[in-house]
Amino acid sequence: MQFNSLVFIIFGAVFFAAWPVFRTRRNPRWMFLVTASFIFYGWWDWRFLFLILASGLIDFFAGLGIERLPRRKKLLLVLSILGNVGSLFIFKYVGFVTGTFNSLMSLAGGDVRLPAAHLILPVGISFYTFQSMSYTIDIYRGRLHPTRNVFHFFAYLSLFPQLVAGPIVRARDLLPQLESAGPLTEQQRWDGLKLIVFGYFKKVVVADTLAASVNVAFAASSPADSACYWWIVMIMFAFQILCDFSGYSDIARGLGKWMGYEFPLNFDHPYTAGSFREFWQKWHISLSTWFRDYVYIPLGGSRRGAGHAHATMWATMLISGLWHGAAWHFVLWGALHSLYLSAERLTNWPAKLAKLPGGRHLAPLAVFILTVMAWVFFRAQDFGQACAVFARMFNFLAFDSALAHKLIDNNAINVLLIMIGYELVVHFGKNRPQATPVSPKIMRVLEPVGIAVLILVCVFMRAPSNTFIYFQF
Amino acid sequence: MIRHDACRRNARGFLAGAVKDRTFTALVLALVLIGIMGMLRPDKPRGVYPKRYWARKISWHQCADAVLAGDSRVLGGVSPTEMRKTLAEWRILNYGFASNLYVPEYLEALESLLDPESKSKAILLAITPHSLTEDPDVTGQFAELKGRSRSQIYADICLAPLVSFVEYMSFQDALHGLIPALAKGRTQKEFHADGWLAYQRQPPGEKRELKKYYRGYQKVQVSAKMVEGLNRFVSRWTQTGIRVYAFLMPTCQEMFELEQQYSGFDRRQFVEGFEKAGGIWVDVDPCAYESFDGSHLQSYAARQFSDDLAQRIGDLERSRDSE
Repeated sequence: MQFNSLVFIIFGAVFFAAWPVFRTRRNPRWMFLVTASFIFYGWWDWRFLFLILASGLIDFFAGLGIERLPRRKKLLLVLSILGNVGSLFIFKYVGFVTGTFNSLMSLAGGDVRLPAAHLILPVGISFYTFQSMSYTIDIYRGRLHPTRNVFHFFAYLSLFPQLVAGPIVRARDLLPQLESAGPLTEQQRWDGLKLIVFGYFKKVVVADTLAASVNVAFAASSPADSACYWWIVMIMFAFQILCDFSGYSDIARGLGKWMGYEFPLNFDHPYTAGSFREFWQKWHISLSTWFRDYVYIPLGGSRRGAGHAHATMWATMLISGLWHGAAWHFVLWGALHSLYLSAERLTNWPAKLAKLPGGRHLAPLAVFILTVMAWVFFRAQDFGQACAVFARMFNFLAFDSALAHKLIDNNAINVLLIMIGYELVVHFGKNRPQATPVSPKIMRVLEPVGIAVLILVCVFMRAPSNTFIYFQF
Repeated sequence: MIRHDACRRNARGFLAGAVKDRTFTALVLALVLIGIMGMLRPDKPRGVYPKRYWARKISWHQCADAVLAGDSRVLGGVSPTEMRKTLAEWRILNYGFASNLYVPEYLEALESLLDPESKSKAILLAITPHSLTEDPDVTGQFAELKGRSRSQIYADICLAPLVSFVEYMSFQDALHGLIPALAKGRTQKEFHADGWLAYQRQPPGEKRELKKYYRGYQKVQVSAKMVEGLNRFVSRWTQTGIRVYAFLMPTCQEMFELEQQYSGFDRRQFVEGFEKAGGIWVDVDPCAYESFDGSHLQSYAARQFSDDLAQRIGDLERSRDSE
């Protein structure tokens, strides 16, 4: 079930109509949450409910075992991680590994071929396996006590707002919240609505409108020969992916608020970042912190010297690239960001640039341009296409004004300009005292009008529906 | 009495609470705005609801005596109702789709529209050079609609009024609706149950499609394989007693010349092959009707053309009967 579908609107209406009845009753609440979440997930393909059940049960019992059998806790943790990584490997990476092996064999002239695997990738598998793994790892580290009720566990693991595309929530943050059932305040409802409406606006108006132009550009059998065209397309993609993913996160956070739960902020205006370090503190925050806590720091982090810190960062970023997609161009995207981060650590160029006149604005611009270049590897269908697009972007002699005009002449450019304008307002508004030109009383009237207009825009100016990009991860 | 007062107090209290609740206020206001916008939308189509129109059109099966086939030029350029004024005994349907090519899947579907019980079955092929190309970048509307599931089609038919009410509107549409003076021109669409999609653009006479077609023919041209494939179907149909007519779909003079020059379409050669396969070629004036965008006909021109076409086919039918 997708947030931007009619069936979800109906599902949501039924859920929130029944939620006040269930939320104050302990056991019915857990069952209601798990049942609703399983319906939400099973709507896509009910067979994969068995996978989430199996994967979840392994971690539930591993968690209990780790606490009860301290001598065997390492073994149980390894079993739990193997279960999660194993299912992720089978569904997501087997095809990639066999494909790479076969390509290498054909390059080497060998005759051995592995049969091609064509498995359906279960929606959100990368998200819920990571969430599940953090549960057992936190118990192993003594930071969390396992829950003894299987419904509690599955309510945490499969809570529908964040089940398929995050934010990745830690058990130690969510489980205590699931226990509480205080009444919802007017402020919570209002904050929830604002997040949901902004999320839908980002997804159905901005991301889907931009997607139409970007998809046409990447669907062509050979990339159009115009640098200007490709720069516009790639800037469009930069905002498409930001709005697609942060839109989903906002909707998830808003739905969470309506249920009485707080999910962490996942995007904090990443394109206003003045360095790559800051970019990764603002982009997909729940995943970045997951990798920091469960990969980067356990591998040694920055405790064993600068060289080791670089190596660990590279390993983490390459794994992050592979997490996004089982293909070499995703690995290259991760590698390019590692390169940016390494160069930044070695030269400290953003800080130096920031000292120049206007440097405070130049550094975010430079980070944005480099990020846009890296997105080529993320969006391209394969490595060959990525290289071809990259070459077109820097062939400044090729300038087909008709192509650029075609892009400028459609709705996507209006949407793009609005988003760029919004990010600029955020950037230039940073470090300035918050001025409130309107009294709180008037704001209480104006804000609902603004949100109502935004709902109107979402209904009438939504672009043709597209799947959320991060569903495929 | 006391109970009645208490009820009123409760109701007032609830109302006051609801008004103070920003979520409630915003949602109610949004519903009101959606209602107003839906009723006053500037680009409201006429006739059958668009979703219902496409869903029904793609589901037609064994329900016609004569079927009009082709791409967007026939979709907007021939009115079956107008043709029935002359060919009254025929149940005629317009089975044209945007960016349509004469691929085997389409031709099979076309045949399936004919009622097996019909005494005089006919297929009327509207020929445009583009419909005879093999363009790998084009996924025609027919293929897109055919790929839809039964449940989607059913939902489109049932929910069409609701979906039409909240149909997508671009910033430009909304702006032009609010300030009509800003609009350079407006295209009004009317969806007819017989498959015709009538276009009425004010002011008419734009030629914006010429550039697009010129660029298109630089990439792909009429394919001999496609023409052969079509003629194979024509031959099969005529052998089973279906009469197959074909005509060059009218457009504006500039487009006609552009297609003669760049599309690779050889009219004489095509007619020869088509007649050899058993088809009947209908000569029409390819430039005598007004187009609104350089390719497609205005609705009144389409009506006039439908009438002329029906008379020609009627004459041919009568002469065949007298033979």
